[in-house]
Amino acid sequence: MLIVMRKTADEGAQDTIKAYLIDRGFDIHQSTGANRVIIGVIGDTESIPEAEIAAFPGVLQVVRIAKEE
Amino acid sequence: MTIDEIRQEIDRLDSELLRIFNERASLALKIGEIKKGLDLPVYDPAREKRIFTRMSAENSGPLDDQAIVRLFERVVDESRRLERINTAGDH
Repeated sequence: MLIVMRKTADEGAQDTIKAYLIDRGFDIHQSTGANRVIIGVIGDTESIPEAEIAAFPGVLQVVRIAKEE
Repeated sequence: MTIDEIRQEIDRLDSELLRIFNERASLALKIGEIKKGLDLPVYDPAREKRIFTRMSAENSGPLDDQAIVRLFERVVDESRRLERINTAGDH
């Protein structure tokens, strides 16, 4: 799962979502670009409700990675 | 220097980085043990920010500050993961 943060998202918003994921046993890889922060979530993310992530302040887009058959 | 000589030097530095990464990870594990004893969370965003800020401030290039932050984000991500796995495994 990839979580794209809004340009306007402050660090507090990033911290909140990262803490949410880490508390639930997921690992994250953050990549800070010039305009965007992308948080890659590692683990079996099927249990993560997409709508719940999308509702966090500062989240622009939640992208699920398609499963390979 | 020739390309081969430069690559040999890069290989030497990569080996040194590998040793340093693992030395750092060992220290992170010690921190994890202490946090567990004190019931502190693995994720410490203020500490992570201090690392990125300090490394950017000390950076003299040629890598730009954003590149330094991205590199240390990965180092910190992996240290946090190691701490989490170690803490979870001890339960």
